[in-house]
Amino acid sequence: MSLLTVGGVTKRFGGLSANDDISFEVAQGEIVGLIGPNGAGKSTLFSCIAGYHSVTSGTIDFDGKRISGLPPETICRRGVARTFQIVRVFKEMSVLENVMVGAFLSTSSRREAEAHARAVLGRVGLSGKAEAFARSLTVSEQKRVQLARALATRPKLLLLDEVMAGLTPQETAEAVGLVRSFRGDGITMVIVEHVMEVVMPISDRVVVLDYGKKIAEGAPEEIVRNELVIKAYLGEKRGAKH
Amino acid sequence: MFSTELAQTLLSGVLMGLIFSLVAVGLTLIWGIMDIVNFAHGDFLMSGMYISYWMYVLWGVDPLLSLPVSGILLFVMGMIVYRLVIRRILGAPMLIQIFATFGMMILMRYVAFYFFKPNYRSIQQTLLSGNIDLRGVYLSIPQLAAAVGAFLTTGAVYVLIHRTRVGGALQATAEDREAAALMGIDTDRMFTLAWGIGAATAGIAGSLLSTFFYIFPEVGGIFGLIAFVAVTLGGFGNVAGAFVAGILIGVVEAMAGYLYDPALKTVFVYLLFLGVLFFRPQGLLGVD
Amino acid sequence: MAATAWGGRGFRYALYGALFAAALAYPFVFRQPFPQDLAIKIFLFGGLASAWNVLGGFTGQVSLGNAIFFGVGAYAAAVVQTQWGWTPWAGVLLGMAAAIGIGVLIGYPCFRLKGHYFAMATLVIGEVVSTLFMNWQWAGGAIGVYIPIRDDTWKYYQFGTTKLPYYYVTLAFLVSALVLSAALLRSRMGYYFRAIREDQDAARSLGVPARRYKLAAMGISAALTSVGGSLYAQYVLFIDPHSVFPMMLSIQVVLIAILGGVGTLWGAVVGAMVLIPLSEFTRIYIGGTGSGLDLIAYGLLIVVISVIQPRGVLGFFRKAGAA
Repeated sequence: MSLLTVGGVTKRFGGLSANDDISFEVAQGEIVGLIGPNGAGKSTLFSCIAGYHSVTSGTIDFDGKRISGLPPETICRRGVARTFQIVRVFKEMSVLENVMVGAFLSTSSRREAEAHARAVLGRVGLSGKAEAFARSLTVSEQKRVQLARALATRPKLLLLDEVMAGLTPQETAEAVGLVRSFRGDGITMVIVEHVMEVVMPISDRVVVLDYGKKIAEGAPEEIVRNELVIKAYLGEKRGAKH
Repeated sequence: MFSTELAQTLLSGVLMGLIFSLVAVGLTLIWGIMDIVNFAHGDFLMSGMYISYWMYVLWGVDPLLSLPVSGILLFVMGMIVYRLVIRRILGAPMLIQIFATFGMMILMRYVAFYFFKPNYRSIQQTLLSGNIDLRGVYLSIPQLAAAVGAFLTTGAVYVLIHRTRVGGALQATAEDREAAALMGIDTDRMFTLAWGIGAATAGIAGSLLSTFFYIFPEVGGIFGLIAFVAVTLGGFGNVAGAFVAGILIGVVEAMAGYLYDPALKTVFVYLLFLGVLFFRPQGLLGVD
Repeated sequence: MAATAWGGRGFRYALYGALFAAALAYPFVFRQPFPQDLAIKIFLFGGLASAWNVLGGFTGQVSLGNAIFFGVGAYAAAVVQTQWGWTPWAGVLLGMAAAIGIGVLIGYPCFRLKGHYFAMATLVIGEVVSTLFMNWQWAGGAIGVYIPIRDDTWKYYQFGTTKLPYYYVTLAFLVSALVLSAALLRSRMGYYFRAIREDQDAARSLGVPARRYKLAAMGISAALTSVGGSLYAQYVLFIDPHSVFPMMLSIQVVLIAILGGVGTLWGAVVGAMVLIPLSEFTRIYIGGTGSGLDLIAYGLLIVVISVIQPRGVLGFFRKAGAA
């Protein structure tokens, strides 16, 4: 049973097609990597799935029910959580309070929310920073706060938008381990990443976008050999040279 | 049949609208370039009015001649305001930005209130006075002159923005601050300039207005509001848009007073404002 | 919780207790009407500022039109007496209901607007409401409403011979506002409010129904403000659009909240304790009402705070979880 079904999703902004007829499925328990050159439409797709943009056409189903057209908070309640590419933590709240906002999804008791939040913080290794203000953390720590916050909502599907960007090799290794451990909790994930060395090893399957269209889908080993994919990335590099 | 009353109303609406346009143009410049709402904009206008008034009362200078003085003084005032206040709140949260210009509005308004008293004043004798009679439609010459002056000033600003290098730099800064900085444009100077021009246009509008409109400390309130409406309607940073919107509002206000009740015509402007806020897409609305 | 500057819990509660005791004893120490009147005003504005704080400080929606709800409460209290002979307490309830209704009505369309525009919209709506009441003859129009004077009575909440009941009722108002705010801060609602303030989109991605909670904040703020208005009406026994709906009132309330520290629990009280005496003394010794001097001071204060402490004021946010 597929948990997430993206059916022919097109998102246009004015004349520009950020997403063009994209379809794929994510099965329960999978980790799917979503890659593509800059501007391919990966974040836009995430925003569509999470409810921030309404799709121009196409459908998105989650857990057997239609979610396209629903507001973000409802989609989260159904079990979809996301992180943002540009870190958006609640700056004037402490790390613990940040995560508690997520924890409150399943309880209205402050005590329960706090307990759950602390547990999640322990999971991501931020227990020591629980009382610190989110704005005083480094960017990579803030990313972990974002992650913890999303986790605290007890999601079935986690949309991770470039959580590895800008991390040191050490931090990246830790992050990879963390992401893998989520699978043990039964969380399905779609991961957007630029860092190939990270995405390929973790993903069960990879979906490739370029200029808003899906150009390839398959196991990581196949994707790295795929002509279209190579051309898309080379094209980016070539363009960058000019 | 086009009644003369209707024509009169429409015409005076357009004339007034031209003044609205000028005020709006200054506001849209500031708004467009730095995304800050200047709650005190109407009070720049008020300052211009009083400058002209006092130059008239103390030294007998006709408002049309004191216009450049008003413009220059307000230009300086705008720059000072930017340097002293605005520059320090550029990166601050929106709450603080609102408070800062809002506080300035109150400060300016009540300084005027304290020193000049709440009395309604007017300038009686001006160089150009009297009426023109166009087949039953009376045009007050001062108002006409003011409208022409406003039109010319708006045109000058338009030319400045769209046809000069400085204007190009202003536009670039408004479009993308960082990119402009990377291209070597001194954004701080651009901001200072925007505030200077913005305040100056309001001041000039005030001087023009003083030839036929009452001068009192709270006059900035309604003109400031109308400027907001015009900018919201016409698009932020869009000088031509502000121009058209200003005239539109002038006509709407005049028609509301004519068709309905002169005492409530401001309410119509308020309602128009609210309507614009709710139906204008993007820029104003978040995702809901 | 976030950094507490006051030290341990025990110390804080002892402090609160001492303050409360002092407040209770105050009118017996200062028996003259003037200091009692001053205190009543401080409590009233402190409560109003706390009410504003729920929407503006906690939830980050800057409303510049709070006078609407103040006026609604004042008129409700007055009108139920003059039109139907009811007790003003009924007016308090009616005012709260009306205020919540109006607040939701305003909030529903306005909350879609981004920050600056929301502020402007509330300002404009405030003026519209003021104008409407000026022309509403049934409610007294521009002339206003005189509340019939009676002998001292709790039923009609009027006391000609002493200010003590007013003092304690207004104190109760302030304390209720503070207790409510404190409870909010510790509750899920309070966390959601703050999340909305920090980053509404991120909050929604965590399941926070932003619009619903903003409306809730508006409702709470409106109801509380309305109660303040009702109490005011009974204290002065005369209201008109000019005294209960003016933009200046909204400004004053907001200024008090920022002065003391936006988004904190005690900010409103601190602000009121600074600003009210200041404005009263300015009025008496320097200008007399209508000179505008106190307003010049307000304007200057607002600008100075914004400029000198643009992030510093936010430093007060830090204590939101603690104090």
